[in-house]
Amino acid sequence: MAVITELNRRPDPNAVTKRQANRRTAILLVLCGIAAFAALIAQLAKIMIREHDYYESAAVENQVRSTVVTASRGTIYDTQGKILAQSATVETIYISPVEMRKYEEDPELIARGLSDILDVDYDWVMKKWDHTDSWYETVMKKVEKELADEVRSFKNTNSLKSLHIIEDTKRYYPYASQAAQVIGFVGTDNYGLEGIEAVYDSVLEGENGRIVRATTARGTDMLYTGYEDYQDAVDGQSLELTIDNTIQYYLKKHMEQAVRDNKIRSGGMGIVMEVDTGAILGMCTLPDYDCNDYLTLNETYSIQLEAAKEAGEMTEEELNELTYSLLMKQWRNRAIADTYEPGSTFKIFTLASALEEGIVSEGDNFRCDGSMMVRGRKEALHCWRRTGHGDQTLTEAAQHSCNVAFATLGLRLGASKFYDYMEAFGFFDKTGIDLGGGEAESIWWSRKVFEDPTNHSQLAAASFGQTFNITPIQLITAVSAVANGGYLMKPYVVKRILNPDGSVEKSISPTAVRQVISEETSRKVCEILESVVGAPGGTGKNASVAGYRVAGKTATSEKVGQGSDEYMVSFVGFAPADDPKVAVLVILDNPDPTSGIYISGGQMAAPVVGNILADILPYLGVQENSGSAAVNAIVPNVKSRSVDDARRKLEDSGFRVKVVGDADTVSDQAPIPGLRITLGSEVIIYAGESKPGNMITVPNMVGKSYRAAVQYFEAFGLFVRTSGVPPTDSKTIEVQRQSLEPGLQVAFGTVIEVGLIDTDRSIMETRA
Amino acid sequence: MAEFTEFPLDLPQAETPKQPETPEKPGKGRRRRSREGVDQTRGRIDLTFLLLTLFLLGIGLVMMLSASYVSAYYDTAGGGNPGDPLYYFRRQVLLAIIGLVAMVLLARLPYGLLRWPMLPYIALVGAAALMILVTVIGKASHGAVRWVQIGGIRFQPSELLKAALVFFFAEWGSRHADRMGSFKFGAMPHLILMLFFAVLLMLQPHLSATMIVVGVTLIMMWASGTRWYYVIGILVIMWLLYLFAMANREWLTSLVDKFSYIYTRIDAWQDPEKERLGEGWQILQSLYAIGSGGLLGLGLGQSRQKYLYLPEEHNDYIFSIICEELGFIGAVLILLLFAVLIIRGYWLAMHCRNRFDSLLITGFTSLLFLQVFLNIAVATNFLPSTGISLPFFSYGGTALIMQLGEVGLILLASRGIPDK
Repeated sequence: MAVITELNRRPDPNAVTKRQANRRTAILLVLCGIAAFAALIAQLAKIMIREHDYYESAAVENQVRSTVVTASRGTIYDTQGKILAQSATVETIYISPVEMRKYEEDPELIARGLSDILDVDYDWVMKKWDHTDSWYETVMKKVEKELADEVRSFKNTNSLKSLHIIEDTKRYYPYASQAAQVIGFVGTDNYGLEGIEAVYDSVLEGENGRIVRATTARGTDMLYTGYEDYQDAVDGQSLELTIDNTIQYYLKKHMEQAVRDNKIRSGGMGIVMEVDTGAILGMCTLPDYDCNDYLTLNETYSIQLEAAKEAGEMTEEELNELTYSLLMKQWRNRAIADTYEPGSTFKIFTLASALEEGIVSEGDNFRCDGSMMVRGRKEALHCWRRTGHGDQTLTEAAQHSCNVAFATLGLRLGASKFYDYMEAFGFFDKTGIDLGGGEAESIWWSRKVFEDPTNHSQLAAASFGQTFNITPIQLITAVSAVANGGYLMKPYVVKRILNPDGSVEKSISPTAVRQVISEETSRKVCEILESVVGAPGGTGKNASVAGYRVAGKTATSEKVGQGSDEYMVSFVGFAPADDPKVAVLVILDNPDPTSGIYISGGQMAAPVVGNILADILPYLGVQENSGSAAVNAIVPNVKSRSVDDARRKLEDSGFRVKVVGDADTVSDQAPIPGLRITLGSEVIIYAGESKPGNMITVPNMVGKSYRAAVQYFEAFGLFVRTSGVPPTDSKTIEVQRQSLEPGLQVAFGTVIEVGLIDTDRSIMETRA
Repeated sequence: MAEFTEFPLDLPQAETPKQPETPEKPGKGRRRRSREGVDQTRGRIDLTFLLLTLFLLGIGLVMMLSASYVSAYYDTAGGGNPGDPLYYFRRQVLLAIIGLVAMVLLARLPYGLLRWPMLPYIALVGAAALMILVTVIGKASHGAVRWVQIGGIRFQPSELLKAALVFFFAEWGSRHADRMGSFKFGAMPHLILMLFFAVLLMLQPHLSATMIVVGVTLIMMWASGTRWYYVIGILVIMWLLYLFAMANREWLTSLVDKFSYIYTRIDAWQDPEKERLGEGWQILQSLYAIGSGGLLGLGLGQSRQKYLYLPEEHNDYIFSIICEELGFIGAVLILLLFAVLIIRGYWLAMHCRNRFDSLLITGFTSLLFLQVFLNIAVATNFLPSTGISLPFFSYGGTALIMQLGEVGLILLASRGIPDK
């Protein structure tokens, strides 16, 4: 019955028939068994066939590790082979947060160990672990080997895998701040950032090598032989500079001394150039900095920064900006990167051009009444000496640095000719010195304005070095041209490029740009400039060096746009005047009027050049001029001689003698033999009596006349050696500095060196 | 079509009046009828399915060895001792043997034992209890709580859950075959269970198991004969939910930070290069392995990506190593073997003599399918990454034993098919 009712019933719409069920399973079969797999195979085909090349190279890149083999950076030598910059291996210590987590190492243990050994902050290290995705967090760079070895043993004892030590290089500058702005420095990544390090970076850096090999993800070798490839590191080439470290030392020493003595507020620039080649023997910018620690401000600038901080008017950001600008300032090689108004040193070129043109001769008369009228200029053009120099020859005009005479000379030459000569002396172009793009452009009138026939004021002013700006390197390069027979040389600093094996890759030979004046003119100018230093009325006499013929020219220029008491004093000199070897330019920027020394190139800069030349001329092996009298001499040994014999020997040597005691033979002498003192000094010989053993307090004789100083020192039992201008009895010869600090306790018979300058007001109070 | 017969439980259809009646009347209870089925059709197991399984397992073991020996070497090395490259392989062989024994034992069970009506309920309740246990006292592993330790064996209750669900849906679908068209019987119980377990799994959180639970529930609903639009409707709702979730990312992550990892994975899926140091790393490494395989592969044992580049290379990402070593051809052959196994599974389901067997085989076959498909889809960045192992290939204890056990049950059910 049930069957019948069921047969009669319409199929239940909710019931499932086997046919329906099988249809559904069949759909599943098609979807899951066929369609889904077809989709997967299609996806595989896309990745494995179509994109195979991409993934294959990506995989290779993924599996291949390249280890960098650091090339060692080339050394920088001075011309004598002394090392100025050298790289040494140091190590970098880093931690890997990823590996720390992977190997479940104790971050606190590592942080504590590192803070103990390296003296870094524990919390700072702990914070580094928070960079969970990082494989490389630097803890310390440039770690010395001994310290790195301590870290290494800490790593090994605790078998730490997330602490790493890798080799790196550090740059050392053995002479620290010597020629700092010339040499420059490298940054933390060993890229040269300033100076020669930057300019010659590509030469010095070499080429890093690499080891490429397929490794496991942990960087170890695969179990079977993997792919491996080597590329050797090519070490950087070394540089041999024209800079002579000894000359650089003297340059810096005397400039620093001058900055102190004259209370120079904005430092200075100095260049020593070999006149025949244009090679830079020394180049100095003050204040300088320690290349090993280039991010630390020098004393001068840190005082400025502290002052700004104390004033409390600057925000943090402004202070940071100030710090940065001060750093930039201390790194700046001002000898090439700054321009200045040269002033009277520029008269050398007016003189040379006029002589070369033949429009003037040394004996020609130039009258100076203290001022002159120039076309296109309403007021009269004044000479620095308002009362005028009266009648003077050309040579005398140069000695006096007479503005009126030189303006006349310039006008006689004419704007067009003058402009041509300035172009020929290289004042419109960069010198091309191999110190990179840091060299500044000079600032000049355009030819059109300069040659304006209705206005000669530019020409007149330019004739004595005003109304334009040039760089110190341009000036000394042009002076060298005047001195060397007329050849304008291209200045250079790098003499040779050496291969890592020591062989010479490249020698840089001197390059003459052009001949500007004839050798004849050159000789004439040298004679006139020698008289500027050597003649009794010469403004440059403080640059004189006993035994040498020095030529040169002073300059004192007001700083344009600055307050009226801001000056630049400079002196450019070369020696020997009859066959110039070396030229020296020293510029002192902004002397403080309270120094008590008259602000002028002759008083402030000339003695510096004189002192420098006095040191470097003997060093360079320049023969002392036999014709001129020596100033100092060595005290001979007269011990054990008879008193008469000793007296004769000493007097022959040029000393005065004082005998103490009445024995026949000399038992002792003061000063002891071998010391160099000024000729004419009194040497004491002891006959029977003994030399006093008392200590002497050094008196202060700075600013006193030489005569007074010598008498005073001798009365104390101190012996004097002089430098600077030759000692005479003239009251105008004054002690500018003394080698022993006042108040110092020294033994009887000690030798004190005094630097002398001539302060003759009629000559030296010259803002020219 | 001679052997095409109505299920015993189905109401007789007008089109098939000559269908022989079973001796006993319907409606009195399943047990007797099922016993009867057992008695009448105690046949042989399906050899095709068995051989395909054994073949895949064999290839799986070889590839497991190849994929695992590097990480085995490094993982067991330490203290100056060299590592043991066979470490994972040995354990896998042992587990495979246990799994094979379980498979044989299950396949040889009395056919009727499966039809004990309480079994699905017990299994389901047991699985649920274990699941809750895991979430409460479970042990943390890979940042997710999925394991429970029973007598020194780490056991993943979600594996048991999948099997229990299949059991239950097969029982439900066969018992209520006449009411599967109704929402109350054909959709509601499925949805309730699915949502319950999905939420539980998401709390662990165990995204891959959730996906499989949802997948197998939908397939079982479909196979049980629910209205098609229920299944399609659920799929559409899930798609809309996905779109909603993607559109309201910030709001949702601020609400439940726990699931933000899902977004990261989706980001990595869409652009692995962008996330190359994070979630994208694994996908990229997998793609490098697969892509560098090319047509013919680097050769067996020659993978480079297994040198610690590809994480989980002997586990969830073993297929990438297969692709790298055996190339496109090898990978497709293995895929085809899986496809044939799954087709054979559904074929068996279509030829079962009763509804329960059919649904049971459908369920376990679908589980296998879902595992294989999701695993390879993830490895090839077809879908966002989630930890799903490849049956018979991936290293891993319970999964392999469970999968072989499930094959055993398919084989047991296949004994009801008289003519294979």
